[in-house]
Amino acid sequence: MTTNLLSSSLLGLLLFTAAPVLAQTSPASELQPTAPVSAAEQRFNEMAQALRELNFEATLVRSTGNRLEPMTWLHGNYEDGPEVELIVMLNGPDRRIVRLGDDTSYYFQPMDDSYTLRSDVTYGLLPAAFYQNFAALKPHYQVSAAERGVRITGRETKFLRVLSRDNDRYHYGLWIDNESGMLLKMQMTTPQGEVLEQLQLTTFVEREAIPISLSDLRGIQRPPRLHEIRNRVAPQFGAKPTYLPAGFELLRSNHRYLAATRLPTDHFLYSDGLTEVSVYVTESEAQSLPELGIQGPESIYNTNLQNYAVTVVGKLPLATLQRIAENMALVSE
Amino acid sequence: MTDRSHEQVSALLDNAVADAREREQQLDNLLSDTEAQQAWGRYALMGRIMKDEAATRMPVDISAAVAAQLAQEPQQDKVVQGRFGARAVPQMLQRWLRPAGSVAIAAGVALVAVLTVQQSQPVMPEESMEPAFATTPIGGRSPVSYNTVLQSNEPTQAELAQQRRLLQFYLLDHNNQLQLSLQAQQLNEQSQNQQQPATAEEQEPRLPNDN
Repeated sequence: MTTNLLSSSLLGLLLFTAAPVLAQTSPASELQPTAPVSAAEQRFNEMAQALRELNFEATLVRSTGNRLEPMTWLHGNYEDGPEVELIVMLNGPDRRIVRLGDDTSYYFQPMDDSYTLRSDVTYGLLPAAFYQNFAALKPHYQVSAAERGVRITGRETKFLRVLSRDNDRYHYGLWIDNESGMLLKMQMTTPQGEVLEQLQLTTFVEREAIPISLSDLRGIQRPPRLHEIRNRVAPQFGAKPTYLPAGFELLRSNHRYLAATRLPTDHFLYSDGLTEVSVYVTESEAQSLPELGIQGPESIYNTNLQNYAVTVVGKLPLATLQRIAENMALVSE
Repeated sequence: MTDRSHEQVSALLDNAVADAREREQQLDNLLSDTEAQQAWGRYALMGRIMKDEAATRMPVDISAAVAAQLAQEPQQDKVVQGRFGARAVPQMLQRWLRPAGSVAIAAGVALVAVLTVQQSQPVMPEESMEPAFATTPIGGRSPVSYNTVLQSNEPTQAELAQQRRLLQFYLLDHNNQLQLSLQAQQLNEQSQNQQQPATAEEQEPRLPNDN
């Protein structure tokens, strides 16, 4: 009860302090209609904070299509600061992710495949953008709140919707625990509302302090760190994307072999802050894929442009990938 | 077992039988009656659950298991290079950077719906998937619409498998690059923070402009 009071008064305080900031950014925002939006944004930011600061033990299930993946998810903060997170896959091969501060280790069996990356978010569970304030996403996404969400995992929630402003990207539904601000359920849907991926916590226990089982994780041996080769080769084929939905910026581009193949490939990686898209260019003779498009949590589209095969991959609607692929510019010859 | 005797078990459980002789007699009954014993067990469990004392299985000490497992593993002190180049052993590369928490590559493709099929046959993306494509005789369903797409030079099973593999590699590569890019951003952020120690505490928006 006291924590309830505390958190609600805290919320009030936050809203209070947030108001001047809002007024600064746009003078019109003092008007009534924008008020619920800012509350939604506030709630999103609280979730981002909760994901970093809460001590909790949870189990969850991820559902993609007809595939279910149960996992354990523990998170806490050591008294002297660093965050610690442990995710254990419960079905199939034993895979674990340990994140200590900025170092994330991915453990596989056999151990040879394990590796450590420098990253303060665990890759794959949630979009990295969910760990930051919504402001970063604001130009291209909007967040809206429903009055109240349904009960999730036995707890009362608030419902948030993260929508792309242009319907060129996937949307997210977020159910957020009233008490702790924790994300209890997530749905990724197409702009038309078809659910592509879901995350559902099945148990959630908040702890006063770091969960006991995490407290001695610091001592464990970390797998080798993964370093990238520094001297990258610039794209060679002279085919470049000219269209991307607003807000996508180039993160990296290079020329190399595709994954484990011997396929010389140009690669361009773009991000809009929430999702990413890769554009691959290779010689169609060597690649020999038919034109195809597959829409899913990770969509893929392949087409041919003169002598080149263009393949676009990303968590985006197929129509968007298709538009990217069909708007390639051949620079030379 | 009658309601009456259920009541007795319940009362016994709650220590609500005042009379010592009656209690003894009911205990005798309980000990001789398996059905009553089961009821006792159920009531006891229900009681514990309602009082929120039921043994929670939550705090499984995973860290100990991890530590133990790691202790048994051979020491790995070599540094893994990002293996994009020719030196890589394909078999190993294939497993490298498998996105653990993630997007299992196969999963990404497993639930695909083929939306556009422009000229040729759609590719069946995942072995385990029950394909809906008319190109494969094993599948249960075969939508009629796809039949019209079929051409005489349909790819062989081997070609289809090859195409599937290639699609997986694209997805794999995409996920690898995302992880590396995440790391690059982090390193970039940290080096920036070192240059400007004043902002070191701030959580910077991570994604924009890192080339």
